[in-house]
Amino acid sequence: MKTKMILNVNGETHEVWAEVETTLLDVIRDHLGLTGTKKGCDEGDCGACTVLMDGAIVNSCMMLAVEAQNREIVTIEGVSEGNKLHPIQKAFVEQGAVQCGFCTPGMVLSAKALLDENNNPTEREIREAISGNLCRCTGYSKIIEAVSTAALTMNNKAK
Amino acid sequence: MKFSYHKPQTVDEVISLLEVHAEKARVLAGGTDLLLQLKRKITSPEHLISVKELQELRGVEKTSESIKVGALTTLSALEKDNFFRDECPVLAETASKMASPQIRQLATVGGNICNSSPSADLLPPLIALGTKVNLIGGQGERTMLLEEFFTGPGENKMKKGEVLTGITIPRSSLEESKVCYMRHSIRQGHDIALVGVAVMVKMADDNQVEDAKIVMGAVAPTPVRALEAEDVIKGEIASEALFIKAAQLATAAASPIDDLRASASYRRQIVNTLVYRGLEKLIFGKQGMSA
Repeated sequence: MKTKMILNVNGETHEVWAEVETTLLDVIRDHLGLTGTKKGCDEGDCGACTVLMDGAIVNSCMMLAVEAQNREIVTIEGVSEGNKLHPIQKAFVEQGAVQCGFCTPGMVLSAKALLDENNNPTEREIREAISGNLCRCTGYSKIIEAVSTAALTMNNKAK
Repeated sequence: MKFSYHKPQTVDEVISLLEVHAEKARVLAGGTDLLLQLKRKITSPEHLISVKELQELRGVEKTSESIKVGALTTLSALEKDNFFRDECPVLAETASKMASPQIRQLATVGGNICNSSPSADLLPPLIALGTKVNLIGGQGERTMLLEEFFTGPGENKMKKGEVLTGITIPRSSLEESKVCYMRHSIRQGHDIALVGVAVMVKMADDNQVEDAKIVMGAVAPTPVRALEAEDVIKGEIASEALFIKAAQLATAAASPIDDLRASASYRRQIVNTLVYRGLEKLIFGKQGMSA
């Protein structure tokens, strides 16, 4: 049975009619057309479906969309400012941290959640922050370097 | 998956819904175990009853005798909130090793307990702390030791129509004894425990062990205590030889299985190592590798 849901995504309010069994991931991709968030395992293991919910990362495939109401959801589309890349995205591109790109939206959001809370993370802290995001291409090294670089850039801008 | 979704506002409403829908209903908290079971068609309830609105399941309270933790407390809160890092650091540390940051943001203490996986990481340290679970149902409230709560893999003594509201940890355990949780998994992150061992010791002067508990997870159908190992160290002066004996006895008390992740014999070796290292860490302050 379809039910009405009011979701706040990337600062905009959306009214969605979907089956109550629909996951947040499926609403984001199929109803809102925001396909930057990826469906990898659909079981909460790969992190490709990562979104921010009230500033913290969650697997959108493991949440019912109805339970994401009254929260602030941010997807990868909400990270850049129009055409201007977020420093984290810029660092990923410039440092060669993107190969196939499938893990990248989730990685960027996990990195953003980290840097918004800790603006000078150690390598260990970066690794732990992305421990819920699997990458099959890069071996993670350049992703970790990109997050470090982004931290420096963001701190310099803040000065 | 196909179900009706309910969002009751009070515990009484939940109990009524559970009475009406009985076996056809499942309680939804964080959903990180339940949604997986639904997706894999391991369970197909017709009714999902979300308990997220229940304030009675939220919050933490420190009384003169105990720390009460609401069932809806997330693993992320256990890991990060200063309250837990100060009052029960072993739980904060244990939570930080579980699953992934994304899962921890949704997963709950109550869910970890009610899912009753033999390898659930919170269970051994909570049992070692003498934790009680608080239940409420049609017959009213009741409480029992977490140690006595589990009956088999995924099974526990909750009655039909009951809800776990939270846990109570005696402050005496936290203040008078030391507890650690040693865990071994194949990957460093985002993996379930191959073996999990919680050790509690209460020390008297001259390094004499006044009291001890050794609780093992993932090596039996439920978390199990290594009673003989505990008895062999109680009343003795701590030494490496004593730890070796305790570790051997604990290993004998474990009944691990061969599975996809490891053989039973490997798990037994890990139990031996983790019990030794747990005692060494608590009593002599040594930090071993892993766990």
